Parts: sequence; C-alpha cells; structure tokens
Amino acid sequence: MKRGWAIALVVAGLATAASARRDPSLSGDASRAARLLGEARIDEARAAIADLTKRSPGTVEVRWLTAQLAFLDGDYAGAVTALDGLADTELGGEVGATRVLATRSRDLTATFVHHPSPAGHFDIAHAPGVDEVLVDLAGAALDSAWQRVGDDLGYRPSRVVRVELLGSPSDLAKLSPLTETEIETTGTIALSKYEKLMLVSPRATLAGYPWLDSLVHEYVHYVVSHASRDTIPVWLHEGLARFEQVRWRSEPSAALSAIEQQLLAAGIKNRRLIELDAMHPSMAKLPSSEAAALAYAEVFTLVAWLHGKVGYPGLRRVLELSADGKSARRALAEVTDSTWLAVEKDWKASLRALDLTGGRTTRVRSAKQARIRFARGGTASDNVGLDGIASARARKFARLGGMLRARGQVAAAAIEYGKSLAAAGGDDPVVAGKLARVWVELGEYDKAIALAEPLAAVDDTDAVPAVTLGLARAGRRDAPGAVAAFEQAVRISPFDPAVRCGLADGYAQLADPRADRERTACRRLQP
Amino acid sequence: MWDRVPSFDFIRAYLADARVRVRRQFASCALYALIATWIAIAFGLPMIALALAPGRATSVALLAGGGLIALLALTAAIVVGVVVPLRRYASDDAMARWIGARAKTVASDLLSTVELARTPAGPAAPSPILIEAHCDATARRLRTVDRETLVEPRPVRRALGALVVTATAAAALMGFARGAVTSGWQQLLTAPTRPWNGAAMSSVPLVGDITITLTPPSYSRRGPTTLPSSSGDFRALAGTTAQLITTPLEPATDVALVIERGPPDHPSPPERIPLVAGDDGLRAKFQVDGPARYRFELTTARKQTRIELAPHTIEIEPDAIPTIDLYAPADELDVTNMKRIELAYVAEDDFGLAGIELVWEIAGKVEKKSIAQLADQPSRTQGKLVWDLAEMTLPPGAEVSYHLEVTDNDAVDGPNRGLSRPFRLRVFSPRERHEQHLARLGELAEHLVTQLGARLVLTDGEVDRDTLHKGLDELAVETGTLAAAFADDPLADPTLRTTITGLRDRLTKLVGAEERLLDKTAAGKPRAGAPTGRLTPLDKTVIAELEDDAIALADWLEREQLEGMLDIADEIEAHQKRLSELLAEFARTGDAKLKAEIARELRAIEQRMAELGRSRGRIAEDVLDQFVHADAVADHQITSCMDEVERLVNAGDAAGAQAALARCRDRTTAANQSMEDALHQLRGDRMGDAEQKLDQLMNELADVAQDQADIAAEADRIFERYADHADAVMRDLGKDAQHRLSGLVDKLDDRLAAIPDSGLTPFAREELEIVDKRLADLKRMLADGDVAEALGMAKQANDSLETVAGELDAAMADDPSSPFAQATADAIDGLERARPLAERLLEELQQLTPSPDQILGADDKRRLDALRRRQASNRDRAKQLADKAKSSDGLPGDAAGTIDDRVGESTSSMSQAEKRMGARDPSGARDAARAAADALAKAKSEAQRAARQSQGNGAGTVGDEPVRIPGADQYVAPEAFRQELLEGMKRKGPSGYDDQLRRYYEDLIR
Repeated sequence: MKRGWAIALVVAGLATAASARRDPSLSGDASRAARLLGEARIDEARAAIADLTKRSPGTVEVRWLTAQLAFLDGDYAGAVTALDGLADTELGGEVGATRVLATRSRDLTATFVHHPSPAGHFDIAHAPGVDEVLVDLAGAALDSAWQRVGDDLGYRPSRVVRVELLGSPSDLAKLSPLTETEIETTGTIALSKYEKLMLVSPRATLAGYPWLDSLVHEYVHYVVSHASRDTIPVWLHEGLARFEQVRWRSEPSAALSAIEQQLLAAGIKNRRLIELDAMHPSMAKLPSSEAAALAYAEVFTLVAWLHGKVGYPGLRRVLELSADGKSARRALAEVTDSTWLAVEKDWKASLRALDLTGGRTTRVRSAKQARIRFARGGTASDNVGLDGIASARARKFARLGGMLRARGQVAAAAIEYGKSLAAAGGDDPVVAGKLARVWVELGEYDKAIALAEPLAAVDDTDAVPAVTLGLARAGRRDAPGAVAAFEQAVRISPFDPAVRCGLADGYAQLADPRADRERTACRRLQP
Repeated sequence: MWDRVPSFDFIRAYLADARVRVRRQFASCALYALIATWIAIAFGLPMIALALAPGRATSVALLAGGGLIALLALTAAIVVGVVVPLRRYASDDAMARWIGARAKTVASDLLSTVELARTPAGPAAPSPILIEAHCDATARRLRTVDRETLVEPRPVRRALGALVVTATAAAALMGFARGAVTSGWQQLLTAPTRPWNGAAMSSVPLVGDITITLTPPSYSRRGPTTLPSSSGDFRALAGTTAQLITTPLEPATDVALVIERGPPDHPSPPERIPLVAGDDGLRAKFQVDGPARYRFELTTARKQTRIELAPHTIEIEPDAIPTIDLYAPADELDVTNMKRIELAYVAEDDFGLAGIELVWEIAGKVEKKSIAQLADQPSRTQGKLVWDLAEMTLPPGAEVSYHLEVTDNDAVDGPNRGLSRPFRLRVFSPRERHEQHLARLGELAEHLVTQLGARLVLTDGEVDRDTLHKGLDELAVETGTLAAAFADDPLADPTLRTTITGLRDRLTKLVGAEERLLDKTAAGKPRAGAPTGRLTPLDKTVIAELEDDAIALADWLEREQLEGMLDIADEIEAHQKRLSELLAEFARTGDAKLKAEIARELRAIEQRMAELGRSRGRIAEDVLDQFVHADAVADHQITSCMDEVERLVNAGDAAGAQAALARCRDRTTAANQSMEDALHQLRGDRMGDAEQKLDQLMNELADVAQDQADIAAEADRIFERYADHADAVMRDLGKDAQHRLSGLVDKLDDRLAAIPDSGLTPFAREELEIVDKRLADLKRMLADGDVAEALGMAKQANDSLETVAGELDAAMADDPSSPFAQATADAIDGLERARPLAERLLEELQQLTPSPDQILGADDKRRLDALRRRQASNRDRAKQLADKAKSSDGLPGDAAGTIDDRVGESTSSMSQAEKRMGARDPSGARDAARAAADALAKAKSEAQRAARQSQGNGAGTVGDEPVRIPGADQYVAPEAFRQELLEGMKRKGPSGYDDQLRRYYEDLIR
C-alpha cells in the first residue's frame, strides 16, 4: 500500500509549526527525521532521532518522532509513553493521532503471541487461539517470497518484518485509516503500513479468501515502498504487488484468471475501465469489490506487459528511478525508452489484444460470487451460489438436489443435480461443483474428478472444487494429486479440517515432513 | 403280710407315683391361674383408674378390690391346688379308683387288690395264695398301663395358656403404654394435693372497689384504659399490661392474686401475685398473654387463708387477620413473557400493616418479592405497582398463579398474615401458535422431500409400491389437516392458505389415480415388487408434482422464517434504541433507578437474540460444500457486540456502552437490511406477481412521498422568508405600538386598581389577578416590540375581565341582600368602567397586527399559489394511490391496507395544507405540508413492514406499555377526592357561610 502520505503531511505541518516556535535548527532536523520516516528509511531516521534526542530530548517534536519510531518498531507501549503529557493538539493534531493509533495497537496486540518464520525474516504475531494454524503456512510462504521477490525487485529487508494476524475487519479498521465499511465493501483485508503487514484472519470471513497470496501481496508492497522510498503511485504499487503475489509458489505469469478476464472484457466492452489516477489514494477507496477487482486486473496487465517488455531488470530500474525522484510515469517511459503516452497507448493496445474469452468460454463464478464475503445476516448460507444460476429450471433442480442431499438421499440428489446441470447447459460451475461433491459422497470418484478438475483449474480462489478434487483424488489413492488440490484449497480455507486433515494424510503418504504440521492443525481444528 | 408280696409293692409304688402326678397337676394349674389373675389385676387396675379417673375414695376402693381379688385368688389356688389334692388322693383306694377311671383294664382288679391287701389276716380272710395271685395278675396288667398317660395334660396347658395370654397382654401394655400403666398406678396410689394450697373456698367476694387499668401493647397504638368499679372481668389484647387496684373487705395480713392462665379445660399451674399496698389501695400488675382467670386470696391474722370460689375472667380481644384486595387487569390474563402488568391493592388491618408481598407460583415453585414495607404501620393502605414479568423466566405456555400477602404489626404473637384471592397469568402469543403451524409445515415439507427422494430412485422390481402409495396418501392427509390449521391462524398469509389447499387437492387427486392403477395391477399380479411399467407415466407426474410442492413449501418456509426473523429483528432494534436512550439518560443523570431499566432492556435483547437464533431452524436447503467460519456469522458478531455492551454497563461505563451499542446497532441494521433484501428478493424471484404489484405501488408511494417532501421543503422556505419579513415588520410596529398604547394600558391599570376589593368574590379576585399579570406581560411584550404576543396577552386579559363580570353578576343575583351586595355593585361599576378600555386596547393591537397576506411579498404570494396547485395535484395522486392499493388483490401481507390507510390519512393533511396555502397562511401551510410529508414517509416504512406477514404483537415496537387495570384511573381518583373532601370539611369556613359550605359539600358528595 502507498504509505508516507500522512507523514509527508506531518513534515509540512511540523515544519510550519516548528518554524513558528523557538528552535529553527531543531525544526529542520526534525523535519528531516520525519521525512526519513515517511520514506521508510527507518535506520537513517533512527540515527537522526537519536541525535535529536541527545540535543533536545524534551521538545514536542523529538518526543513525537521518538513515539513514531517506537510505533514503527512495534513498541506500542513505548510510543504511548513517549507522548505522555503532550496535548493531542500539538503538531497540528499529529500527537493525538499517533497516540490514538499507538494506544489502539497496544491494547489490541497486548496479548498477541509471536512466532518467527522458519528462516527468521518475519515475526508473525496473532491473538492466542486458533489462528496459530496459520503461522507455519504464513511463515513458509513469506520466507519463500522474501527470497524470490528480493531477487525480482532487488530489495530484501534488512530487519525482521512484523506481521500481525487480526481477528476481524474491525481490528484492521482500528489499526489503520480504513473504515470497516471500506474494508467490507472492497474486500481490502490486508494492509502494509507502519512498517508491518496486517492481515485479517480468514476466519473473519464466511468462506475464506486467498489469504496467502494476499499476505505476500502486502509483502511486495513493503518491498516496493522501501525500494522506491515510498514514491510509487498506487496503480503501479498494486500492479507490482498483484504480479508478484504468486511468486512465492510459482514462476512469473501474465495469465489472467477467468474472473479477471470476465471483468476486463466487460470493462473494455463497456468502456468502464478504471483510470489509473482514480485508484489514488487506495484501492480500498474504490466503490465496490468488483471495481477493485477490475482495477487490480488492469494494473496487473500493465505490469505483466512491462515485465514482458523489460523483464525484472526493467522493473528494478523503475524502482530505482522512482527512489531517485522520478515520477512513475517518467520512470516507465525511461525504462521502455519511450514516452508515457506511448507506454499507455501500447499497454491499452495490448489489453485489446488479450485473449479474454476464457471468462466467457469457461463458466466460472461471477466476480460478485467470488468476492470476499462477510456475514451480514439474512441470507440462507447453505444455498450459496444458487442465485447465480441463470436458468430458473436449473435453479429449481439444484435446490431440490440440495434438499435431498441434506436429508442423506444422496443418490436422489445426484439425479436432481444432473437435471439441473442439463438445464443449465452442462457447464454451470456451481451446479457442477455440487454434483462433483455428491459423486464423491457416492464413491464415484472418477465422475467427481471429471467435474471438479476444470473448475479448480479455472478458479483458484474458490476452495470448493479444490476440496472436492482433493477428496476425490484421495479416494482414488492419488496422493500427489490430492495434495496438490488440498494445497490449492488451504490457500483459501486454512481452517477447514477436511483440507488440513487431507493434507496431513497426503503428506504422510508422500513421506513429506510437513505431515506433522498438518496433522497438528488437523487435530486442532477438528470439532 | 402283703408287704412281702413283690407284686403288691409294685402296685403301691405305682399308686404313690400316680398320686404325685395328680397333685402336681393340680398345683400347676392353680399356680398358673393365680399368676394370670395377679397379672390381670396388676395391669387391669391402672387401666380402670385411667378410664374412670376416680377420686381418692374410688381409687382406694379399686385398690382394695384388686387386693381382695388377688387374695381370693391365692386362697383358691391353695385350696384347689394343694389342699384338695392332698385330701382327695391321700388313700390308695382313692388313687385306685382314680386310676381305674382312666385305665378300664385294671379298674376293678386294682381296687379289689387294694381292698384285699387291707383285709386283716384271719380265718375269714381270703386265701393268701389267691390274693397273691390276684395281686400278681393286677400288677401284670398295671404294668401295661403307662403312667404318663394317666394324667391328662390339657388342664395344665389351658392354665398355662391363660397365663401366657395374660402375660403377653401385660408385656404389650408395658411396651406401648408404659406411661398409662404408670399413671394409672400413680392415680391409684398417690393422694391428690388440695386445691389452692388448702385454702378455704369463699363463695363471697373477698375484695371490693376493683379498678383495672389496661395498657395495650405498643403496636396497637392505643392509650391506657381505666375500668373503675369493675367486676374484675375484662377483655384485652394479648400483650396488654393490667394493673388492679382493690381494697380487701376484711382485715387481712396478705392479699394475693391467683391467676390461672390458659383455657379453662387446660389451665396452666396457678400463678400467685401478691398485692402490694399503695396510696389508693392494694395493687398488682401482670401481663395478659392469653385467656385467663384470676381469684383473690386473702390471709387473715389467724393464718386462715381463703380464696374466692368464683374466678374473674380475662378474655382476649383478637388481633384480626389483615385483609388485602388485589386488583388486576383480569382474573386470567394471556400475556407475553416480557409484559408488565399493572396491579393495585387495598389492605386493611385493625391495628396496623407491616408489609405486603407479591407471591407467585410457576410449576410448583413459589417465589415472592416485597412490594411495600410500611414503616408507619397504617391501618389502611392502597397502592399500585407495575409488575415486570421479565423478572421471571416464563417459557411459552407457562401458567402463573399470583396473589398478595399482607402482614400486620402484631409484635406479641407474631405478625398475622392475610392473603388476597389468587389471579392467573398464561404466557401465550399468537405468534407461537403460528410458529407451531409453521413447524408442522416444516414437517410436511420434510415428508414431501423424503417421498420425492424415494420416488426418484425407484427401480423396477425393487420397490414396495404399497409403502410408496401409503406415503403419498399420508402426505395428502397431513396437508389437509395443515390446511385446516392455517384456516384458523390469523397470522397465516391468505396466499399460503390457498397454496396449502391447492396442494392438498392435487395430492388427493394423485393418490386416487395411483390407487386405481395399483388396483388394476393387483388384479393380475401381487402388489409388492410389482413391475412399474404401467405406473411410469404417473410416477413422472407425481415426481413433478412433488418437486414443485417441495420448492413451494421451501419458499414459503423461507419467507415465513425471514418475516418472523425480521419481526424479531425489529424488536431488537427497538430495544436497542430504547437502551440507547436509557444509557444517554443514565450518563446525563446518573440516576440509579435507570440501571434496572437498562438491565431489563439488555435482558430483552438477549431473549430476542436467542429467539432469532432459534428461528433460524428451517427446512435445510443443502449441505454446505464449503467450510464456514463460525466467528464470521452475523448473529455471533451481534451477540458478541451486545456482550460487550453488557460488560461495559456492568462496569458502569455508560459512555463506552453507548459507543459499543452504536456499533451493535449498525450491525443489527445491516443484518436487518440484508434480511429485508433477501425477503424482497425471495418474494420477487419466487412469488412473482404480488411482489411486482407491491413494487409498483411502493414506487408510486415513493414518488408521492418525495413530491410531498419537496412541497414541504418549499413551504418551509416560504415560511422562513415570511417569518423574517414579519419579524422586521413587527419590530417596527412594536415601537409604534409601545408609544401609542402605553398610556392606554396605564389607564386600564388604574381603572382595574379602582375596583373595590371588598366587592369581589374570591374567584373574581383570582381572575382579576390574572388580568393584572396579563397586562404586565403585555407591557413587557410591547417594550420588546412583540405586537403579536402583546395581542395574545390582551385577548386573554379581555376574556378574564368578561369572566369576572359574569361572576360578579351571578353573585349579585344569588344573594341581593348579602351584606357585601353594595360592595359587589361598586365592583361591577368599576369593572364596567375598565372593560371599554380593554376592548379598545385589543382593537388597536389588532389593527396594528398585519395579516400574513400583508406581510408576504409578491413573489412569495405567487409561489404559495403555485405550491397550492402542486399540493392539490399531489393530493389527487395520493388519493388515487390509496384507491389503487385498496383495489389491489394479493399484495404480500397487509401492504394494501397499510398503504390505503396511511396514504389516506396523509391526504387530510394535504387538504389542510392546500387550504392554508389558499388562505396565504405560510405557518399553517408549512405545518400541514410537513405533516403530510411525514405521514407519507411513515407510510413507506410501514407498508414495507406490513408487506411481510406480521407475526409480532406490534411491528418494531417494544410493547412496553403495561397491561392496565380497566378503570384504574377511576379507582384512584375517588379515594383521593374523598380524602381531599374530608380534609376540606375539617377546616373552619368563614363565619356566616356555614350553611352554604354544608350544602356545597353535600352537593359534592352527591
């Protein structure tokens, strides 16, 4: 996420406030220290603040800077203490703002337990409880990302990166400038800010979300901020993060998911693409999760296009140029040896040249269905997805299938789901997913795999077909296949005992050492 | 000689042995009988003594009798048991006869042998050889006779049996009635003491001039009472202290009072209280604690003691049990478990009431709570209370019996307790009945889905057709009974009734068709496992029907469930709103009383949340393919949120609780909106036409409401401009008015001051004071330049002067010869001089006040005219909308009626607004237009709510109003009124008016 805007404002405010006070030289140094903080140059800022503390330890500016530094170091109590006795209105209200944020952070994280990642690059903290089953998965993914993204973008943090796993969107709202509504509307559920990564636990959503990719996505923001001294605009930030978020588990790819293809195709057709400047100041401020998803798809194609043209050296050069004070547009133009207008034109031309038929030919969930869902009450949660089935007849048979299945009449349910699938044209993903699960229950694994495999392949943000596939492959004693499917599922639904236990069994059959980790999680999650 | 005959020796020894045996038998019998007799006497005598309660003489006689019988028994035993056998069986002859009587084989031989043996030797004696031979023969025969059998054992056994029976009876008596036996003996043996310590009984009184002073116990709040020249008998409350003063009728060295406490038949031992000499005689003091009798005892110098034969009686005046009458809304009341019930009571006691408790019983468990602790112990009290049923956990269907218990202040014998008659509550709600029907509908849906599943997988030769058919038949029957149940359910949607009835008819038809086909099949082949070929087309029809029905029922269940949940959610919102208000009030005032109300609201929300959770049970639509996180479920979040509120409330953090509550309310609102959307979607997607019609009406309603809001906003703007203009105009006028009218007001003041006070009735005086006040106000208004307000004051002053004039005229007419008549006439004259000035003041102020039409600018007049036309047009649209709603059939819930009613109501405000606009009255126009806009906005929300089947008692209302006692207001007023009247009557009226006052009070009482 774009960071530093607030601090830049503080610099301005501080300079104004301080110049009107008594010590011009202090003001200048304090402004410099604040700027360093704002540019995520923490080590340099630390030295500057230490120097200021020696010279004028009691001044408001220095105490605020000390508090800011403590806050960014994760010493929330120290930050609050540093501001003791200062009025909230000092420094144009920045003292109050810092105090509120530090106090909330201190109170919320007071009982958190901390775990280092396996390679020790990250400190993962969470509230005591079931979130502990996320820690090992998160640590492994982040360590992998630390290595690969570091290679790609040319920056590896010298200090341990703090990661806070939060229990609910309201916790994230307390620790960030986002509101709960913004979080729930746009599905912004993780944040890289204040020198740490914050992620809302998947258990705060009804059915999970791609939390590991999101976590790495935020880590890429962290890297980009530091590598560019936090000068990269939102659209490029998000494009880089989206492009790099899968690097912890795969090679770089420009392939759009079917849902992204749907969104882009519709956006191009309806001339409703999100302008790059409209993404400022944050994707979380966009009006809906669909708009945010479209924006992500756009900037992903931009970075993928750029990567295709200049590769990672070009991307690293963009960051260097930005850190050096060039605008992102200018940096892109220089890297491509072109002008920004030409860059934009070429990119948009590439967009039109993209094969976006995948979203039409392959039936996938709609973006609305695929959004991160928070409970709002009212709807029948066990009838998920049926409203997305276009044919009324297909909907009716699917409902009947569900009713029969809920009463253990699985064979009858399969008949109704079969009718539904036929009525829907044979490729509705929701009905196919349900029928596949019924085939698993009936022990018809081949039929289940035939239905679930394409679904899992086309939409890796939906845990349902992946779990079905995992169960079916496990039923056929295909351990590698089952593990692959469950690994896809665990990236979305890590609290599902079927997934963790399935993984434990699969790893055990493959003599994978991760079997113990998954067995522990399985036992922890089983009711 | 015979002594040497061996056989004779044997015979003699035999006889001796038999003698011993006989004598022993007699002795044993006599001994047993004697002991039995003595035992009978030993235990019989005390029983007789107890039964007869004899005097001393009788006791002695009984003892003597008993002793005599014992002695006689002893004598008889000796004679019969010893003497008689000794004598009777002393000779061998007697024994030979006795043996012969028992052993016939030796009877004559033995006797003759004994007799021959006694024959002396001589010539006449029989031959010794013959005799010896006879002896030998007798001895031989005698040897065959067993000695043991000679003595019959029966008499000894009988005697022993009698002894055993007697001894057993005695042992039983000792075991079970040892005390009685002992008492009996004591009564027989102990001589009673002499009554009154041996004092001589006197049939004449021993003292005279008895004066008794009774000091009742303090709780009775009675003063001491003196009974001079008393007979000595008196009646008093338990706990009374009695003091007696008396004079002995003859010289005495000692006089005492001997009291026997307790009832006459069971008196306690006499208590002796010496009388001591005082100034006015001999006196004694004692405490009355129950019924008693007392006598005077007098001892003379010669140590002769006499006591009165006839006692003086002390009777106890009973402390009556307090009474309490409970007034409740009804003898049997159906309530919901969160209702509050108004109760009233009237309690009375002869001396004082101490406390009142409300007692209730639920399922055999009795609970109570104090509702009044009466520190001042009134003898009569009354009051009202509101009983909050939320205090109890009342499951649906619970029955509660309740009454009031009152205790009095009896501090001597302990409080007496009085009970009111019991009343009953029954926790019942139509919603619960409706939910029961819905539960049955759910069961029907379950059976239907089961039947569908069974038919979907049926395979030739593997299915029992009879069972399938029976299942279908049962479905049809079940549907029929459910249709009947919904017919009597006022909360059931009419369309639901139609759906169920249609379902029943179709299923019945299919059952008949299948029956016929099965019969045809059965004619050729056995039914079970019969091929399905001939039924295949019907199977498809049945499956299609069951599929449609399963979906229809699921839709209805989901809709009813959502509607029910929304009703509960509305109640939660209403409770949250109320809680928010209470928290704000608590934060403002810190009033501890609000805590209970806050706790009540929290409890209510908790209950509703639980109810909401329960309502989620419904026909399952599917098995979730995905794992759902329990933490993320909305109800869980709201519940956690409310837990936080409760925690903060308990911690006393009202502000924090308010903030947390605001978050909860947001969540609740979001959840409710989500449910509302889901319901709307459900009705729109699956229930077609009705929802579309409703949508259309709602859209039109929204348009009308929006237009009315615009009209109201325009009316607001016109009024604001008018008000600004009017303010400026009036300020200018005010200065002028003050200048012109201040002299007139002063003159009026002078005229009023000149009215003679002595001629005014009290009422007229009060009214004139009001006039003075209004004129003072008027002056102030003029000084402020507020002509409109000054005009109002002048009007009120004028009205009051008119009232005073009427009052004085009436006073003169009532009593023209009154001593005040002249003064009253003078007052009337003075008033008549003042009134023209007041009228002139009013006129001038009226002339000074411009009409709105004069104040309104030309542009605003045009705008107001245009607005009037717009208002008329909108009114017509609203009327058409109401008519349309009225004629619309099949709208969901009661939406049609609500739109018709509410929109219809708004049209009257619109008409009023139109009139006021026509009259160029911006203020009136604004108010009426705003009222119409508000009514339409309300119509929108109410119509939306009415669109769902209202299952609650009142949509979105907390329903906090207590169940009132019918006519309770009338119940209190007369009591207060009577009290006031009594107080008034006690006051001394002005002299000369006594008669009028009496008549006045009589009229009032009538």
